[in-house]
Amino acid sequence: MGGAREADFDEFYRAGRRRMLGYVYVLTGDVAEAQDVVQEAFVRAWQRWATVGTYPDPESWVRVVAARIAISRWRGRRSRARAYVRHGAPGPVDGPTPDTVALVDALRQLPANQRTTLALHYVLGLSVADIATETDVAVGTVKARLSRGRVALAQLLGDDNMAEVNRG
Amino acid sequence: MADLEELAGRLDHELPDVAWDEPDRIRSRGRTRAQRRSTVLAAVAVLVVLAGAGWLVTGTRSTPAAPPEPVPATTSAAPTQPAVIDGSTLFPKTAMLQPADVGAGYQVTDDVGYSPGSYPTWAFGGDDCPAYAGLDITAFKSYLWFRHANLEGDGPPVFTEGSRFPAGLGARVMADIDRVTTACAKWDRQGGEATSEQRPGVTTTTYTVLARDFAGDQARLVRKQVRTVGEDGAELFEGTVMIAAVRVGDRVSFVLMEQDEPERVRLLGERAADRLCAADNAC
Repeated sequence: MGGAREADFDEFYRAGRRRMLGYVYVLTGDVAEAQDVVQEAFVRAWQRWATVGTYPDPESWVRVVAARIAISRWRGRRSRARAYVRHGAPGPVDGPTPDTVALVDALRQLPANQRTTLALHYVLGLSVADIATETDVAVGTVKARLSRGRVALAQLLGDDNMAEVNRG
Repeated sequence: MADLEELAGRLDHELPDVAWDEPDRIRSRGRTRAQRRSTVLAAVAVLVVLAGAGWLVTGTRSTPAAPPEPVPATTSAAPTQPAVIDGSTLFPKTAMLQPADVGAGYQVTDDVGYSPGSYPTWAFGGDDCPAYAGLDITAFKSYLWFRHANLEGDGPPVFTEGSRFPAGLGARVMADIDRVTTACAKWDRQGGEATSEQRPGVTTTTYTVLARDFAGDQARLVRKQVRTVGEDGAELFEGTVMIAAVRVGDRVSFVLMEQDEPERVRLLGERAADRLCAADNAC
């Protein structure tokens, strides 16, 4: 019984961690920190797995927890050092290209609610309705956050492709 | 420059393969923490019992022990934390356009205040207008408090933004609107959100000032139109945003609606100016 529960969680963790890494990287701008946040979110999921494992979409629970961890200022000040301790200094691995880094840096300058909304939409492909459910706000609020976030990003990047009227 | 639409694919390809903790390590961390928490809770329970016993002993004294010194609110574990800014006085919620101003059934959503420097753009920013960068638009960044809220109901949503500026800067923000709408009255660019490699097109954006100084100390009513046409001449996208900007003293409010209804937005701008006036009896 316990073995099945563990196997269930292990499969969930293996299947979701990489996807979650991209999402949290957009929120934090640091791969090592994102990895730390993702693993921490899965630790918390395991602690509540008896409940979380029964949810129709347990990954949604992990996303919410990971986002809360990632955008917390407390976490922001300390997790970089903790990630360093846990994973060592970032190695000379091939990482995101300068364009992607610039985009993620700009995203990180946005207010947290806009950044999270953009990440849920553009990184994880959630619909406006799903984001509204997940973040517990109205659909119109999600649209406004997407619109404002795109406009702000365009200003930050001086980008040709993003400034646009909200498409509805 | 990287595009949001490509971000997921880029991350998938570009993020390195990190050395994940094995699942049993994740589970172990969860278990260890649960045990540690149980130990702490048990220790707290013991302390509570001991404290209770202590109260029984000391409770017989005629003079109770002095309570601990209150900790000043400004002392915290993070002494570098900036002082808290009271946005409720710099730009109170009541100074924003209210649901009753828009219509029956509307309510406020996404009502958020921002301390100085934390909100990166403004209603006339973020454009790809070639002339924008040369205008060196900066006044909007100097706000003392910024607030945005949506008013949502059965009709089209109304987006509102309000800023309080240091003395004199509110007028500069209004002047910047004139500079942007003049320098960027019309421009074209290749592409746009409705285009793709398979469906190229050109996007034309225009700013048109429809009315001036109809409310408050200064006011502008501006139509922003975005139209994307494919190479075959077919319209791929068309959108309009009506913007009312009003200033009363050092406060500036924007009202935005994604409908081509200038009279309605002008009226909302007048009501927004009334709200600014009423906020501290400024008029």
